[in-house]
Amino acid sequence: MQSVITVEVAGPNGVFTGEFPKTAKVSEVIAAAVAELGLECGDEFELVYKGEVLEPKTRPLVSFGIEGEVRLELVAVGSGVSEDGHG
Amino acid sequence: MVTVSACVLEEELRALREVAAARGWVLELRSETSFVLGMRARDGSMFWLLVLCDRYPSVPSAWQWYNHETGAVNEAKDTPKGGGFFHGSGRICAPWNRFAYKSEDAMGPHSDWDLAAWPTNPKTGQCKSLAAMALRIYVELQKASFAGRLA
Repeated sequence: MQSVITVEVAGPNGVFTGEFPKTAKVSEVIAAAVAELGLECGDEFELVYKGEVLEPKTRPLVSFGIEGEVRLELVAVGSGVSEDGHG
Repeated sequence: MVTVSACVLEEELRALREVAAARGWVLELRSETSFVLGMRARDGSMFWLLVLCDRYPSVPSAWQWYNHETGAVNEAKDTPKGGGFFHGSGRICAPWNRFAYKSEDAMGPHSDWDLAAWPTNPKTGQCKSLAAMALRIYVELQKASFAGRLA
């Protein structure tokens, strides 16, 4: 099994590609993407893999079944409304 | 004369194009201040958006569901349901969408938000670029809560 995960993160300012150890925490990937893409307020973003928000951010990537090369989305927290569809 | 909105759109299109290419979206410019975006949902079906950026960023850009064949907007068969902010009215309910405001669209769910203050609305968060908005919509289309079309 590979010990490195290659992530392609699509974010508000473009796309970031990086390699992380499979034990890297979600928060570490967010921090790297936020820095690389020139964003601010890392706490206000969440990472999404195949439609699933990767939470809690303290968990390592591998604990979500992520390995090899993956595509993730970095999205702003708090921009939506409630899950019942009402604003 | 080149408008502020046209300049801002040109600037933001760099990131939007990059993300669109990475995710296989279709991006078509329609004017200096408008574009069409196509993206696939969780079930593989295609959804289209017509995005109007006139007066942006003084006021939010306007996102509406679009029929790429007929040019119609806001038809139930072209509008997704489920997801965190796909409102039952068919409007994308977020402060960064002009058509979420009742003052701009009779079907807009919100009369309590200040249009000009959209960047500081707490629900906007860091969703302040066109690429960020498009990604937010894309992610909602990928979630398990996505439930097909309104009709």
